[in-house]
Amino acid sequence: MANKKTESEQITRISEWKTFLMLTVLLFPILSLFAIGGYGFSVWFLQMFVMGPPGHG
Amino acid sequence: MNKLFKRFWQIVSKPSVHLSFGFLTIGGFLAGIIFWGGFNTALEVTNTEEFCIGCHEMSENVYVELQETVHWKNSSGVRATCPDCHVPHNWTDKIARKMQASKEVWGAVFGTIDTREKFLDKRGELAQHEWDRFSANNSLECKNCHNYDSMDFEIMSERAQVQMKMAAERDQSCVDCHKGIAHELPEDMESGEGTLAKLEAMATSGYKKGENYYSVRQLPLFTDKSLATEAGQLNAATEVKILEVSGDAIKVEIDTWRKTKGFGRVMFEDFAMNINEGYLTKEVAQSDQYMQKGETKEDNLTGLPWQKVSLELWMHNKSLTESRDTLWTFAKTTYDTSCSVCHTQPAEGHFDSNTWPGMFNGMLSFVNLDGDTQALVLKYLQKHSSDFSDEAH
Ligand code: HEC
Ligand code: HEC
Ligand code: HEC
Ligand code: HEC
Repeated sequence: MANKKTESEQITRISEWKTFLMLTVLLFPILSLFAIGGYGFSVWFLQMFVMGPPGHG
Repeated sequence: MNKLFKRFWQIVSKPSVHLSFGFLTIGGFLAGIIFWGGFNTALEVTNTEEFCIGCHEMSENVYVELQETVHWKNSSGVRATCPDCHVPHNWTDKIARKMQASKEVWGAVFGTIDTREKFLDKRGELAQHEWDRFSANNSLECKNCHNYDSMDFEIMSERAQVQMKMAAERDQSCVDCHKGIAHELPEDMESGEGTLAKLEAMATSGYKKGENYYSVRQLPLFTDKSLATEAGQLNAATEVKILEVSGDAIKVEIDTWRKTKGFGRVMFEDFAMNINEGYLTKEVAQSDQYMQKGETKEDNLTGLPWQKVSLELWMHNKSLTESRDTLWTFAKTTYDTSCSVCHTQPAEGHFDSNTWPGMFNGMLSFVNLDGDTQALVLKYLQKHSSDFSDEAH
């Protein structure tokens, strides 16, 4: 262990926690919002130009 | 910055050293649940009336108007809120509508409708968006609360019965006729209520036996003097001859033509001309009790046999007029104003009476006319079509 201190030495408990929180609390929620928003926008644009307003069925 | 990113990637792309597999999956799973819960809660908050009227544009215009209407206070104690009528319930359409609201945020920030005047100027356009939406989804939002199958037509007003039964038969979109149900209409538009009063104002009273009169709007027909059993419906601007006046009821004779294929329920003004005079119930159409049959002729163009019939039925002692001239004047004004919005209105005599219905019906989704006015304007167009254009009118 002691002689393999090249990269993983820097990966401390703290930095893994930070990364985990960064992903779950910030990045993924933000990406999800973008995805949902993007989906909403694309449906809206389709409605405006291609499909017309939402119908039934 | 680049270094930070590299390091981030280094950690993300490798198996974790300190955090256990179980912790990462459970932690990610929980974070997902919390996100979705929070997202939907936030979505619901934007779906409340408080949110909608959070800006003064809505609270000072449409919200105060709503308070005057049946959807604010009624005998059933059910409140319709803004999202009940305005936000689609299906998820995809809801999200699309929320994104569309970015336009409304833009409008709020830059004050496109921040005064009553600006709002009223824009109202026609805004209302048109909603009408398009309702006509595309067949008034789905109204039907979340209202259902044709659950309506008791018997206890509705007479005019409501006539129009609503027809609407139910075709599962028609409510907002076709009930525009301005929750807010004031755009200024330059007359509502259906206004036209009813105008039509009724053209009716005369004191009808004389043996004279001919015309209906000012679509009217119910009955088989008996007590006006209990329905016999069908008379179209607007249709001629009847008074046979008997008896209190609130009158007995009328209707000379009409029908196609003998099928039940022969629909009445037409003349041989081989699809000028509608109304319809009969199946029972009356098939019974000999109320009608005298005349000659039968075949229409060479369609190969359909037509039969002349003379009906004797009862109706309310009202809503008739002596001449169609006032009705035609009203119909012409309506035609000239409603149908010249997008193109110059075609001359009445440009089509014949069998072509007009298709042309007219194709344009109906573009205009705001209630059922009675539609029927009247169509009849006006047919009676002034190329089939009649030599006549002095
Ligand atoms: C939240 C449920 C709800 C929604 C959505 C809704 N309504 Fe209603 N509506 C009601 C209730 C409740 C009444 C009153 C019934 C009563 O008289 O007690 C009513 C009454 C009416 C009336 C009768 C008016 C009168 O003067 O008697 C009409 C017409 C009507 N609604 C049309 C519509 C249309 C058109 C829509 C869609 C734009 C719509 N409603 C959407 C619940 C709803
Ligand atoms: C063809 C036009 C038309 C359509 C479509 C239509 N209505 Fe009506 N409705 C009328 C007319 C006309 C009246 C009578 C208004 C009056 O008498 O003031 C009426 C009356 C009503 C009334 C009041 C009835 C009473 O007298 O108590 C209700 C409620 C109503 N409509 C709901 C609806 C709903 C909900 C829909 C859609 C599911 C709908 N209507 C579709 C024309 C229509
Ligand atoms: C009973 C159903 C119903 C309810 C409740 C309702 N609306 Fe509407 N709204 C409509 C209809 C139908 C239209 C289309 C225009 C018309 O017919 O008056 C419309 C049109 C509008 C318009 C376009 C401008 C205009 O006046 O035509 C705005 C803005 C609007 N509504 C906002 C609201 C807000 C905000 C609320 C809540 C305070 C609300 N609406 C509640 C049915 C409803
Ligand atoms: C919102 C705009 C708009 C309104 C309002 C409107 N029209 Fe049109 N009309 C059009 C358009 C667009 C066309 C050409 C495209 C088509 O044929 O669908 C057209 C075409 C026509 C045609 C020619 C069709 C053909 O095949 O030759 C007739 C007839 C017509 N309209 C009659 C009417 C009548 C009657 C009214 C009033 C009830 C009316 N229009 C109201 C937009 C409108």
